[in-house]
Amino acid sequence: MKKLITAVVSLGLMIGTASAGTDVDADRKAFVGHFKSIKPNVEFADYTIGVYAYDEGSRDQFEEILDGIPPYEEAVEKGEAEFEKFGLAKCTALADPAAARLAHPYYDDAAGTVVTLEGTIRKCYTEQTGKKMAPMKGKVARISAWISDQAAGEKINVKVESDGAKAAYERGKSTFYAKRGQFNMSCADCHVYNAGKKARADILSPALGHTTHVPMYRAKWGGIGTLHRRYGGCYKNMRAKPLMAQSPEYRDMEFFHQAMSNGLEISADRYRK
Amino acid sequence: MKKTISSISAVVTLATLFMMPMEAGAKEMTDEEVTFGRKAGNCLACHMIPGGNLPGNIGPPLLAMKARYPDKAVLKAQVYDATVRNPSSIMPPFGKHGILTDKQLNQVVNYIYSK
Ligand code: HEC
Ligand code: HEC
Repeated sequence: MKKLITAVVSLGLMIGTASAGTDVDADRKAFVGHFKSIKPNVEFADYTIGVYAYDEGSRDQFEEILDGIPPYEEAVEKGEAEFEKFGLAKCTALADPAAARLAHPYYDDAAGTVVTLEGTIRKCYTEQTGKKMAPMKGKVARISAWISDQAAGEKINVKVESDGAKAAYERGKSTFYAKRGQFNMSCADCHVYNAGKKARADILSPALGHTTHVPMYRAKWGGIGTLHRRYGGCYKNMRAKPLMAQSPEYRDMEFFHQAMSNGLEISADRYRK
Repeated sequence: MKKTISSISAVVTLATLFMMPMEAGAKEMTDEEVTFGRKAGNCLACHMIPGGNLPGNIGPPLLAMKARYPDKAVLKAQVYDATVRNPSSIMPPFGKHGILTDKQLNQVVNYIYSK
């Protein structure tokens, strides 16, 4: 096991230092190309609906749920009220909510770290109220969902420009592709190489489009949660110990993960099974 | 002498205390339960196996195993560590990573060998 961890870490370092060769757009094209080759009939733009683009039956159910009163609607409305109540518009980074969704995640060169939308919301909340905000569900997810709704229809456009940004992107990419946990699996095992296949009755969603509708409502959670909450759940699927939501590793992975969905529309249809 | 005897019996009591919950927790699972159980092999997550409901299709159907694996040890080796044959396999290394005990590995192999 220790051997495995060292192997993964050194792989990460190898890739991490090779940032001179980082070509995000080439990576993204190869990513999109992979999904085109496994599902030639699915339109690129349809990847915003995730797994429902792959299966007629569950797509019908999904559309029925959206036609009614979607179960996340109340939470998103509450998120708007909370945004007002806590005075979050007073923070420059959130003053224009649609622009805020589009600007995140980004690499902050001065701080040397990836900044996520949830990170900015939590920081602003603390500035305005003096209190801390939990990172995975509740207020942070509701507020982030409402902010993201304001950018619905706009396209994800993560920029990876500086050397620091490229190194963070490469670290995130190797986290995504590294095998881990007692089950020795990677994110890509399920959501790239086996997307569209069934694990028992669950159809595995394509990683392309994974970040278009976050935070998402999940029937299993009975509420909405952030992308990092989902990361934690999938770490458990691999029998690996989840990291903290908003940990540097998850933020780097989100940077890579969102960049792979560049060009897809942000969606307010945030329901998933 | 008496002292030794009482400490021996203390050891025995302790031992049985520790063994009891283990045995109760691991209450004899059948070969099928080890193969299908979500907390055990959960082979159906990825493989169609005759007799199992709602199989996944990530891996190939497990059929005619006896004909395809004349040497049972080769089959066990595949379940023990699928990464030997395919280094990037998504199939968990059930033996190598201690997901199943040796006894459970034998049970799984016996079960799919009968299919
Ligand atoms: C053993 C298989 C497996 C592995 C490995 C796995 N996941 Fe998942 N993941 C699932 C299943 C099953 C679901 C629920 C159905 C679906 O959306 O794919 C899911 C859902 C998700 C979703 C929500 C998709 C949506 O459209 O809302 C995200 C995001 C996600 N996984 C990311 C990851 C990341 C990142 C990793 C690695 C850290 C990972 N997964 C590893 C099985 C897996
Ligand atoms: C997460 C997915 C997954 C799980 C769980 C899984 N397998 Fe596999 N299995 C595969 C894949 C994929 C292959 C194809 C070869 C490869 O990629 O390693 C495979 C191959 C095999 C093979 C070789 C098949 C052949 O045609 O020769 C056997 C035997 C096998 N698995 C048995 C099992 C048993 C028994 C279990 C449960 C204890 C199990 N597998 C659990 C994914 C899985």
